[in-house]
Amino acid sequence: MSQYKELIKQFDKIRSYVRDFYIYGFKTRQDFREKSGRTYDNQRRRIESWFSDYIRTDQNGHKKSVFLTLDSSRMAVNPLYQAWKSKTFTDNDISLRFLLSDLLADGRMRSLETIADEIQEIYSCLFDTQTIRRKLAFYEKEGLMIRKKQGKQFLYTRAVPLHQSHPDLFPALILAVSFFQGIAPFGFIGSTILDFWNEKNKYFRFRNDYLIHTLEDEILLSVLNAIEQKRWIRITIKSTKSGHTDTLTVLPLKILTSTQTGRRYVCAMSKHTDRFSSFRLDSIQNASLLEHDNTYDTCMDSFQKIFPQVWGVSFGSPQTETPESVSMEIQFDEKEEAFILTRLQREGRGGSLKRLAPGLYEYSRLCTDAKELLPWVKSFTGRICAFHCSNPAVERRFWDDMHKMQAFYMAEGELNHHEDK
Amino acid sequence: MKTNEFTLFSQLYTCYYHVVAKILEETMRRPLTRCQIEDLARTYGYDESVLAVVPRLVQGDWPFLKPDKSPSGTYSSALKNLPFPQPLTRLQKSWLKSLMSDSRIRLFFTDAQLKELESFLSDTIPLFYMGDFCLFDQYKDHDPFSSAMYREHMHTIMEAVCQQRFLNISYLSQRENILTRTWLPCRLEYGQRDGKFRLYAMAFRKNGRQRIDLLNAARILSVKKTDVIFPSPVDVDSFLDHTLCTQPLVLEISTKRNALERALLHFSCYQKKVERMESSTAYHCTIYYDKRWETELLIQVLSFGPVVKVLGPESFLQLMRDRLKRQALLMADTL
Repeated sequence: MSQYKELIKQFDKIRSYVRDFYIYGFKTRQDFREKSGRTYDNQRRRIESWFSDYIRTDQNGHKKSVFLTLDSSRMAVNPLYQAWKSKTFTDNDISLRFLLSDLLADGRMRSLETIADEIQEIYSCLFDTQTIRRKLAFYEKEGLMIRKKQGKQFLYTRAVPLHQSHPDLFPALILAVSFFQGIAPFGFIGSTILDFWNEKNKYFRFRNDYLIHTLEDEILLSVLNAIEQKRWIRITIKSTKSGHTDTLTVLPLKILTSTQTGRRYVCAMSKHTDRFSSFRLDSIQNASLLEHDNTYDTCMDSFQKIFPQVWGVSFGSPQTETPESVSMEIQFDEKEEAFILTRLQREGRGGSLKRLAPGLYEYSRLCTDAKELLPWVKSFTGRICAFHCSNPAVERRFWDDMHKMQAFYMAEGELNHHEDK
Repeated sequence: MKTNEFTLFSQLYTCYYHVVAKILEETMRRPLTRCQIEDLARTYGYDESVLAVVPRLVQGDWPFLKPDKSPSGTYSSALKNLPFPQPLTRLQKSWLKSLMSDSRIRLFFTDAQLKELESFLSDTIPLFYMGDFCLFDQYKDHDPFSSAMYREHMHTIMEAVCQQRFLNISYLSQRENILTRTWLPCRLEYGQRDGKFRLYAMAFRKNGRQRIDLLNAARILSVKKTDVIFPSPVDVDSFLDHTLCTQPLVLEISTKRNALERALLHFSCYQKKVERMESSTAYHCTIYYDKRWETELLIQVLSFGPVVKVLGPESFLQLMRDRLKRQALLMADTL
């Protein structure tokens, strides 16, 4: 039986656990049935250890749920980045990481044999030259060491830290990294730069930040590689609704990020249906690169043409030949509630806006799937005078939702009174 | 190295390496006792890292510390150099290179610095391209990142934030009044939804009391440096604590229409707690929110329709009732 360790070998083994502890939080040991109870216990212990400041527990009878809770707007650095810093290593790995870096910090080029001798002499550590050679090759590939050929032998030195080679970039670069580690894709890499420089993000905070995205970064990198190389990929998807797993071959075109809902998608041409579809990045279990596609640019052109008609990420059903139309009339006090007009203008995503009368505006838009607009329309509850959609099911759903909400929030007498009017 | 050869999950970025580097940094300055080394491991490591890191260091499995004879029971670094700053890996450089195509990068650097950074990264391939991403629901009226005036203001503000320097700022308020005051810029907040920077700045009243004001960076008309430096960093969070709600929002979330997954992800940026009800068809979600953003939260809750119901507090429930009553009136009028 292997001993418990705080560090792990593979990131994907912990990904779904961190997600469940952070997003759901109510699950107990019994809910994690895919793996053994012992695996759950180890993963829970790791998560408790990595995120100790943000872990809470809840006891319901004899069932205990452990969850991760935090206010993202108060965070200087995404705590979930800790998961990326949990890779295992050997004693040789860490020893040579520090010893080679320390020995070669003076900038002098040394041969492998000299390095081995000096490590023994200065630090009283004995390593065989093969081990040192392998490590030097690894660090050279990673950019931390520089190798030059002199005569028949290779000489090594450490790469120069940016602070020494480009001091004029500081402290501006620290500020830039502090900012982008919070908002750019693969932000955890920025946080490792701050670690390497012994710096912290002191001056930036991020509102409405969806910290969970970091867990998808391995998948994201594979998808971006496919986009760059115009290649197909095979993806395994586990539905967030049903838990059902499916494998698809798709040609990825764009990463679609919602700043409102926390969802991130890859928009792709599906080989099976020959249509554009969007797949949640957090539902993709793995992605493998396939062959190059010669028609990639044509496919991208078609996407660029149709995408302005997409409200969110849905390209509609195959039966929908023409776009659906949506219109709504919004009433507000133009003097006191000018922010409503601002909302319509800035959130309307290309829809047209018409002033019908003082304080009454009509918003209309064509879209591939009108159902996607409903959450936004409902956010104007209290001001909606009219709502029409060319898809009767969508219109029905909207009014049905309004009636259900009124039934829940308003007393029966109030409801009857308004209906009588 | 191509981007598909990069490994994101690498031992190079392991938390333990950082812990060891912090311990070595400190032991180069002064000898440390085991207890002090353990404290550092607790501060910079995971909760249980101290158990894995410290014994290996003091027993010499990781040969970076040497026991001191005087004072006995202490340890010093066996290395010659401070472990920081370290050179960047190719992955880190590649990430930096990707940022060069982001319009916001110019807010941090002068033209000369940008040129220098570009030249440093000239042989580096970007990890990703901004053009491959689309923030499809970001608000249209984001800050003017390409404006020369905006950039100049941001440079001055960022410099002042670092130096704790007071600034004379002219500001166009939401009510379109021009305010001219001296503020101490403390922190910048960026909202991904609206693409706006907001400045948390401290104002000093005549009676000596302090308060934090929130300024929209794009509404700043002019900024001038003063010679006055504030002596210590400001703890902005302590000023914001009173804006947290006294009673959290309690929602009942249905399992219909995948509402549970949608809502919990949507509200994941808040501090929250979720409980499963005995029926298992509904869940209670308690959200601790900042009162300043209550309307925004209200709008978010409304957007879910009947699958997310507000159970409390009474004040929030009243806001929902008011909206629904108004809606009922409008619907009655149109019938």
